[in-house]
Amino acid sequence: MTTRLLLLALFGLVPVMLVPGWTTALVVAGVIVIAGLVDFFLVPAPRLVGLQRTPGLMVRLGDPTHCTLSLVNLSDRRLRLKVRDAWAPSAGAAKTRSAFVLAGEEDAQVRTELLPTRRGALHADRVTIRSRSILGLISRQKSFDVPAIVRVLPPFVSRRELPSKMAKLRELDGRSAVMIRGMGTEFDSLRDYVDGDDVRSIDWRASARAQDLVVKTWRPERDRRVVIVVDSSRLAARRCGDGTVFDAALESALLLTALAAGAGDRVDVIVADARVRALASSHRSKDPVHDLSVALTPVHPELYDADWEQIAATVLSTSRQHALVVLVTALDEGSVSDEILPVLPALMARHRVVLASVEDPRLSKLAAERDDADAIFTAAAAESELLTSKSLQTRLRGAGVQSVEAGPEDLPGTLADLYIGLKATGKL
Amino acid sequence: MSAHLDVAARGTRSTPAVPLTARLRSAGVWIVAAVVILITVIATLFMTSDREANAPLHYDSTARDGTKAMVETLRDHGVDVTTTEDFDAARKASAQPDSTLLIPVNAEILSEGDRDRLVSELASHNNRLALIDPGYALLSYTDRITVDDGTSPLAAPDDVTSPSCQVPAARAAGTVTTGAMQYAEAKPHTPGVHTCYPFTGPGVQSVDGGTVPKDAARGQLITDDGGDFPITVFGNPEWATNQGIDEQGNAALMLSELSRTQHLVVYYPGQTSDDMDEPPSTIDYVPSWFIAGALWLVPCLFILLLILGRRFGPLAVERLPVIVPAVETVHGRAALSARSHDRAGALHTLRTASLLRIAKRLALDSQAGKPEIIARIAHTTGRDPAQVDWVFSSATPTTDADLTTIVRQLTLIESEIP
Repeated sequence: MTTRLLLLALFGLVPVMLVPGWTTALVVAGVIVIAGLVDFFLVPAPRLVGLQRTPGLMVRLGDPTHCTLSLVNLSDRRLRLKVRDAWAPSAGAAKTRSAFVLAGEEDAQVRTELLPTRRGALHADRVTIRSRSILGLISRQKSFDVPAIVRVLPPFVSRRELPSKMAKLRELDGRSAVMIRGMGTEFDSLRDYVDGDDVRSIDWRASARAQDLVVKTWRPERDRRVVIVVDSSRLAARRCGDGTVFDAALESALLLTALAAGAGDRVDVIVADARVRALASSHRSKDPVHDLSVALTPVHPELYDADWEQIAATVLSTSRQHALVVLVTALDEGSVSDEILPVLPALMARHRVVLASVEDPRLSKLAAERDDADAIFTAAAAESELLTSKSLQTRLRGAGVQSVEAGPEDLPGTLADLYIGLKATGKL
Repeated sequence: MSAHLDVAARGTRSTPAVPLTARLRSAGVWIVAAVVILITVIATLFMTSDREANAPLHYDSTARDGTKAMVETLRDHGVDVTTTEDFDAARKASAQPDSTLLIPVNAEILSEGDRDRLVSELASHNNRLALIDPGYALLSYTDRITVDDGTSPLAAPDDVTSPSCQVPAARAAGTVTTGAMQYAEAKPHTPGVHTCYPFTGPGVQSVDGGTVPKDAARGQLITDDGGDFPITVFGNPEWATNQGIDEQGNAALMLSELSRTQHLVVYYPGQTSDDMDEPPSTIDYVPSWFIAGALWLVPCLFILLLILGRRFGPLAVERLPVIVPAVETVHGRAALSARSHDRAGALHTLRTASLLRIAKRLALDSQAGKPEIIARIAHTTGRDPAQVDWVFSSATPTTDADLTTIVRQLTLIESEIP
């Protein structure tokens, strides 16, 4: 059924109104029905089209991409087609419909512009082909599965903090020894003495050889290990700000990876809940942040509880040497006291453990609203949540675990600062 | 960031190999719809074609008050029965010789012209007219018989009545059930009029005041062979009904009276008549080409609906990630404590949180006790220590208003700490 059939039917009004009567109506209706039937058999089947989708570039969330749909006329008939290249709403396809006339054996390309609104592996939906004949009274349509996946990497908004953090880290390099000398620093190079350098860092033997004053410089130790564990259990599915807690955790993991890999450390990222969902390592990777982004892209939090025993075992098997283990999870009383605290001794026997969690900014907002009795009860409930997480932090500190809690935007920076602090004091 | 072509994800059209069961399942809705429509159409046809008349004394009615049993019995016994609701058919049928015209009900709704035509037809062929309990409508057919209006209202006739007359059919039938009405001669001793089945029993003597003379013969069955045309009046409709025909001698009486002639015409006058023409409606003034055009637009509209209603492929499916609204638990807990009026608990939480924040801001030791912090607050803000103690420790709220006041003070004091 097309608009042309409607026009034909409306045209039928003329004879019907000129010669009113059942006979005229039946004759005109019969003519229209026969024309429709004839046209139906004239329409080439939609399956005569060969289809292929070629997804465009992998992008960060917020950047545009595209997907190309190739159509090939497999027959030698002329095909008049309307094509719908369907994508899920979050793929942000601007224009999905197009029309083509393909001569025999001809091919065509449709480029569908996409502006994804969600991170993840976005699956293409079906391609619908609507075909009509030269008369165009009746159209036949069919939908085909043409699989394609567009990968949308996490946005990595916090990369704008990366230059400042890297600069901070670089300040540690080349400093004269005394400022930072201690555990975790290693000999870097010799340079000429300038005013202000500590006289204690003068290398007398080298000075004698060079006939000039030479000081030793130090840099932070390299090739340390950092293991980031991102919890993808139900606690990570909490809504927080615009996204979920998990998004903020990914941002933190990405920034820390960029920073630590830049500083020459080896970073392993484990995303796990009841099972290990993704693993990524900066070892032998040219672009650790990209590799990590790709590994994290298809992972979304699920409604499972995290299996911390398994996670601890994975961490232990990942790194045999001393490492900084960052657990990005939630300060939830039940999960921390029942599941994380029991496995901590095993981890801490070999590693330094830091627990990072995302604070819901709405909690402090609710705690500050105290206008009437209802708001006060809500404020009390929010305060009690905040108190619980504070007391958990105290308990963790008692167990020797440093913990960081910050809002979704601040957590990556806070965690990076913590890392730089540990690096500077050689506690890695 | 570097971007790579995702060649692995490129896909070509996969042949949709839909199994037969899945196809049947998706076509199931249409199959069920077709079956339902078919059943509805068949049922409608069945009900309209086989519509059963169930008006009282109707010749096709099998209800208790129908007369189908009597009509069919007469047919089985060789009487040529014509049944009709159409006046012209009834008139034509009653014009053949040796017939009886039976009008079971509604003898009064015939117009005067119709009645005269019918009566003249009967008279010209000397055919019999049979009426069942006609009431005063009888008077418009004959002036020799009338309704007996002299029966005492207190009369209690016996349940069954004996013939008490010389009519052979009545004598053969014997006793019949008693009805509510009696008919009588208009004038006493009219020749040709035979009355049967008069009321018997206590108080049935006629009383004064009636139009019927006292010595006129009365009865529930009256036959008159002396008028323009023979006429039979059955005073009790129960004799003919499906329910009452098998009692006493009812069947014998009715069947033998109505089978006196070779042909029987049962005319059931309907409510509609040729004389009652409907007034012309507005639609009669509309030109036919306009109606044809308007009706033609209906299929056009149907086509338009089909065009607009056809989806261009199925809806695109979005696989949404899990999101847990975490703040909901806070709201839930708040509602719970509000409903249980746990003001003390809420205030305690707020105080503890405030004191912890203040202690941190005043650089107090984490081991510092409550009195120590309160003393420092009073010192720092310059407030009365008793008031600070009241706000932070001793006050107990009993109403929501109390709670609001205390919490306001608490927030105010906290904001005063530098």
